[in-house]
Amino acid sequence: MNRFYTLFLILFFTGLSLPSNAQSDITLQNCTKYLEPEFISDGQQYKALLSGGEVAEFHTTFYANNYYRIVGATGKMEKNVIFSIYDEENHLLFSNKDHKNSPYWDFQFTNSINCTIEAKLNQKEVTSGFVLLLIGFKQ
Amino acid sequence: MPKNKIPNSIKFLILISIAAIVTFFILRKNKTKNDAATDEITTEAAIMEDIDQSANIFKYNNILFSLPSPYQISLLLEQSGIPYNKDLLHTTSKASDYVENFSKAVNFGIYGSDLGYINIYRQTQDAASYFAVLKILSQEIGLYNAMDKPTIERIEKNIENRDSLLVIVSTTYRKIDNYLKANDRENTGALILAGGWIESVYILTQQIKTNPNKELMTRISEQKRPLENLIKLLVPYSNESKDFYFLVDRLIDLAYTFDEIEDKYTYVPPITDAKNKLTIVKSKSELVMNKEQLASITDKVSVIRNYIIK
Repeated sequence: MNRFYTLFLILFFTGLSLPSNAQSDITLQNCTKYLEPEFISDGQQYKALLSGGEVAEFHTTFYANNYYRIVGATGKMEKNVIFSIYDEENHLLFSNKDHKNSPYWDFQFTNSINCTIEAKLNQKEVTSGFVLLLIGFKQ
Repeated sequence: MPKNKIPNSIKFLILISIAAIVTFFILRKNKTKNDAATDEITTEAAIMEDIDQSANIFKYNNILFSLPSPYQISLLLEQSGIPYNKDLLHTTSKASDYVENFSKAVNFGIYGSDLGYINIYRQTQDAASYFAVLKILSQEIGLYNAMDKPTIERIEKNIENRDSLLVIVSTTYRKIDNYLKANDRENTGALILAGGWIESVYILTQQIKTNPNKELMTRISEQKRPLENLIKLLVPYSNESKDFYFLVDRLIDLAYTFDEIEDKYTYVPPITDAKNKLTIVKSKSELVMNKEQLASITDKVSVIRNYIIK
């Protein structure tokens, strides 16, 4: 009987933490399948919890003569992350919104430049969730 | 003496009560977080409304700072035909001297960057000892989940395969980054990144002494923004210890030297090839670094590195 109670409690608390972990795992799988092994990860994982029209932004440097891939995902369904890249003078260089919210896009930089990447949810489909962005480069 | 037995039904009631109390606190904590987040959003929204009606940027936790992989610097060195120089690497015999979390984490970043350099130059005879050190340090830092047995075995199996190893090690670093962030150990993650960046820039500045090369000079001057990002990552923890404070203080001093580099940027419209999902960014940037600035950066990076590996 005691074992039953213990098992009940273990399952109860495990159940509490499952939904968020499961969402993170699926999001990660949706990102990595477009990145590796063709592209090498920069070793960092960019994650932000967003709701509504909130925007996560991050600042990065892309080196000259390198190929990069940026992948964005949230949850099970693809094409629910809109990401845009701006240069240091705030010119829009690219937005996946113009390409059916493509989950990934490749970039080639003829010069090294500093960029800001903004990511937000496709509000038509998702109202809140973790947005994950990964950056990979090619040898 | 007869044992006082508590009936099972009472035990169950006690367990249920404990579960209810714990659940209450878990949910309450989340609610408090949500309330705090709501307050932040409300405050932020009010500020942003004043600045720009169309903007809705969540500025509290969602500004992220990215550092280029240290392996990109090693790849550039190798592609430029600069020979391998083991003397520039941090000696593995020092690894056992590190006691504090600060020195273990920052040196984990240094040894990781060294392993990338060794791997890119296909110096497999040196790779094993650096990987052994990383394995020990990872356990001491508490990265059991991110650097688990299957990952270690995968790395060991591919130690002679440069391309596979680069992918596996970079993925492992990404897992470590995620694990540390998920466990509220961003300070350790930031130190690992700092170690990797310092080591790669150290190798670059030392190599340029004997191999002057315009491309390498440019790559050094391009470290201005990554350094700013690194400082922003480290600053929140700078009061954690004397070492942490020193590191941030020295990096800020280094950033002043980078600020002196002349910087010109010209926007050129990019070209997008939708079929191949590729955008070619053609904007031009020019960084002009003089010899004095290079010498100062080289010295400052060397001082920081010597302090953290001591």
